[in-house]
Amino acid sequence: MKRLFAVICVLFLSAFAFGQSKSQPSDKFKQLDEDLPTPNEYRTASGAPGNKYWQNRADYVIDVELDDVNQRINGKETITYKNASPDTLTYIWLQIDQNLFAKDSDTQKTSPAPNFGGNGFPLSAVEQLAAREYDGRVNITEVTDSTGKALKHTLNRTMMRIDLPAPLASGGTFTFNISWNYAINNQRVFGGRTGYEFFPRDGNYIYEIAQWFPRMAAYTDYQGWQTHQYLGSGEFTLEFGDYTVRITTPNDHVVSATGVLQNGAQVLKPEWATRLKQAETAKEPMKIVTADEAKANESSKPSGKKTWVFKAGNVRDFAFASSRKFIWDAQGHNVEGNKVMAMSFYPNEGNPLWEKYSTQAIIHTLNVYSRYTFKYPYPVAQSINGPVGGMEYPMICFNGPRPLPDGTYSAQTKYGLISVVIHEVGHNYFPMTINSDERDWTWMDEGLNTFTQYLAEQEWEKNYPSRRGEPQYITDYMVSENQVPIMAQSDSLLQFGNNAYAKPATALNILRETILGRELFDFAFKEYARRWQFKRPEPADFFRTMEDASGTDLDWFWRGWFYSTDHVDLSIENVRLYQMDTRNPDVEKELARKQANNQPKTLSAQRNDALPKRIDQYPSLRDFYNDFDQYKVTDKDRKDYEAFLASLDDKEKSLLNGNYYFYVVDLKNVGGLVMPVIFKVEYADGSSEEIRIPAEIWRYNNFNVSKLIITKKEAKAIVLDPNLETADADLTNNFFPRRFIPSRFQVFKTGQGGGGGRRSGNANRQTTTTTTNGNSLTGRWAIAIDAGGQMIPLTLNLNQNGAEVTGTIEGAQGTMQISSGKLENGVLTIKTTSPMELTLVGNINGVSISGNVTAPQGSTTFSGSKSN
Amino acid sequence: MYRLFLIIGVVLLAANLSFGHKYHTSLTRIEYNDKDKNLEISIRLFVHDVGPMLENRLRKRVDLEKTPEVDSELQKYLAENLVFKRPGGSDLNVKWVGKEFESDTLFIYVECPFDGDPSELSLQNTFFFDLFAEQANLVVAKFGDRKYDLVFKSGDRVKPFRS
Ligand SMILES: [Zn+2]
Repeated sequence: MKRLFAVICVLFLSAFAFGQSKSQPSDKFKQLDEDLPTPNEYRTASGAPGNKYWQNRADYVIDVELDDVNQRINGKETITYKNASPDTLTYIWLQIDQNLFAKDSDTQKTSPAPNFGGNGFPLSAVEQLAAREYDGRVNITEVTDSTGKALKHTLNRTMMRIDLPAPLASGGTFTFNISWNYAINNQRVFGGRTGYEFFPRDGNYIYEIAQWFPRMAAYTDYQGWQTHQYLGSGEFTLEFGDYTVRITTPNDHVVSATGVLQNGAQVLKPEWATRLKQAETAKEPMKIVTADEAKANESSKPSGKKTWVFKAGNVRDFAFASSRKFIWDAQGHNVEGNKVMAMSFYPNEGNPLWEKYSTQAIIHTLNVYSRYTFKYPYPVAQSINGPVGGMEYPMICFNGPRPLPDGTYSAQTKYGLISVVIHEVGHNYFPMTINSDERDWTWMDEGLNTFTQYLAEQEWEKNYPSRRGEPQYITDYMVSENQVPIMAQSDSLLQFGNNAYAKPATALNILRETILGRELFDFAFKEYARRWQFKRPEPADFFRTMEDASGTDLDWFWRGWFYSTDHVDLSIENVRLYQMDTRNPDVEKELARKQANNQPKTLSAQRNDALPKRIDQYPSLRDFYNDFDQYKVTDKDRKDYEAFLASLDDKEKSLLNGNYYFYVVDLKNVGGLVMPVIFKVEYADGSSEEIRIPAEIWRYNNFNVSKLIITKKEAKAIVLDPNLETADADLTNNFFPRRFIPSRFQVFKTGQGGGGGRRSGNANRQTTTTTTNGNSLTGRWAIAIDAGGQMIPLTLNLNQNGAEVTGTIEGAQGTMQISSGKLENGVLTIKTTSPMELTLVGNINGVSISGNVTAPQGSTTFSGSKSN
Repeated sequence: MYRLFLIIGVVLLAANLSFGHKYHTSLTRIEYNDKDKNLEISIRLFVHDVGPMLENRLRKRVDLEKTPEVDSELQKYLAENLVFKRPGGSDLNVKWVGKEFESDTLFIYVECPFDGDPSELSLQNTFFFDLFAEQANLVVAKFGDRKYDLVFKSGDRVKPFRS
């Protein structure tokens, strides 16, 4: 059908060649093969664990005493380490993460001053003294084999090597014992993912204890021993195992820990045990220890010690919390057939917020995450309120938000709590069971978890104020040149953590909503979770599984979002309108004549018109050419047309007479990141239509493409990314004709309200600089008239006197006088009669103007803004 | 006394870990409105950083939406930590426009009347350097068609837009 094409342009314009961009090397679609590790028998090319996949294992039996008088941990453990690797090991490495708090640790030496003053609570003299003298170094008092013989061990900051008495062959097991002790950090002063909080009013402590025992470092198929020191940022890389932990505390403490309490009969008051049993079938969270009981406990004095025994199967870590201040609530919940106790522990200071939301948020998280990944695999899930702002461990997490002392709280605090509970409980999936290497790849747990958190939040209530996930929130970061790709090691992300949380979460949201669609994405995401449950995935395993299970080549997506720092900024550079050449001479020649007449006359030509001409004086000089009208239809034209019609079939004929509009949209990839092209075509009749084109449109030319849109109706505007789903960083170039997009600052200042945020301040509701009354219309306005795709620039030179507007319109061909002009209610109407008849009616909104222009040839739109 | 402890105290970690919030960044976007001769500035801070900072300064528990002193204290903090300097060395006058919350983010809007070439200015951006070693403050500036990208890390103080 190409032969049917010819160009007729509406209104003012000239023809353009129907250009196809030249092919350029398409690096952005280059396959990732060279960047991903070679598949092997441990990790397959499809992203699944291979037939010889292995991981080592460490089982722990630990006795620990929490010293509430001196805030110390005293522990003794027996580790049974199983070497499932094909390699023989002559030494093993352990993590002594609490050495982060050693006075001379790398982290302490390079950190700024500690937070003396403790988040606004002046420290007591005792606390100040303790803080100044604090040294959190772990004292390793004993390392022995199973017979009690001392083992040679060497400390390297937050790691410890034990030299094995005999090489540990593949399949072998090594059992050994460690005794240690250390002083617990005051979390409010020194920060950390663990620590205690002191309550000066009642003299009690809340302990949130983690990274508290020497743990086996991971030995992996991809890098041997994990040797990155713990600096506080990159988290943990751990092995699965079974735990039996006996925690001895003052006998008036309430203890919560990873795993299931084994000796409730010994440690719980009888009424607590009874309530705990009732809570298993309760319809909503039920108090095990009430607020009043917790209050009474605050002034109790211990009369001895109690040992709480917990067992946890197949976990990669173990944490606990202990205090006499705890209120305890619980509710049994059936998660797809797994009976789980959801429980929260918090002091009276946490209410009324905690009793209302914490346990409910746990259950909600288990429901939603189980749906998107796998059934929650553990028997309990707990949320603790203490000093740590938000930190995750298996079956237990620490969450900070509390109301003000008077019990009131802002929306910020309320949603802060719900979100942090969802987030930290969600970490039970990533990385507690899908055991990615946090020290190497923060995004693999934080990014995937933040993404799933977003899904869960949006099922909590309509328009939940999620922090991340929606593409538009990330654009400010992505345009910044100071970034590293997501696929960078965790420690180098320190200051660019946005890469670990928001960017991957947003990328996955876009992958789900815009690229793959929910059905394909959800299947693949679930498959990734299923394949790697209780195993240790690497980034390539995620990338490969998502492609394999969705049946979609996504290399370009990973390359753009995870391996580059490109951002999304697609632009509509131009829109050209073509209409079908009907070949009907009666139609086409008339149009051609009109078009020719519409060509503006140069000033010289206009002036020359009036000069007397010689051939008028001597008519005999005229011949055929003087009278020839190239636009007159001849018999030959008509005959040709009939012959042409006869050559067409019915389908071709209907297309020919279909009155189609052919819009060629020229697109430019400004930001570098290739993305699908989503158009909204707004028609002159007020209707609109969405057109979605896959990212592969950029395959042959990564930077410039043209797309043909065929419509039956005349389009008035074309908008890119109308639903804000692609994280496009610059919206001003997403409109054709261009529209004025105010910045966030301008939106706020003019009182239109930012992105739905809660605002305060003394911003003017009324903009002061952009009113159209008074004299402000006076000046130069740069406008562009949409001539069927080509933009014709004009300048309005306006003067305003009350409602009356005078001035000129300047174009490439010369200047036109405004013959009448007025401004009423923000609507500007101006007319010119010479040298061209033109009426321009526009809405003025601050410094921008847009509207319609009418001429004898037809009408179209224009837009522009004040230039000075 | 408080200051004294900052100096003599052992140098220890003060990482605030709210919400798996394991990093500290801010992003300031500056656009020059040539018509109004005005620098239009939006500052994006995490509430998890702003909260402790204000609690430290006000010496009490703070709820960012409910505590009355928040706005005035933020203005003081901005005056100390976001400073535009003329080539000659004098400072521009930064005017408070307002603030708004969006989820875990606090947006602060300020403006700065200035008639001249803004790329000749220098900027001091020292948000949270006193609290977090790994703090990084990103600045994206657009002056007409020219774009400037600055990063301020602990130890940095004043940087020119055009270098
Ligand atoms: Zn997290």
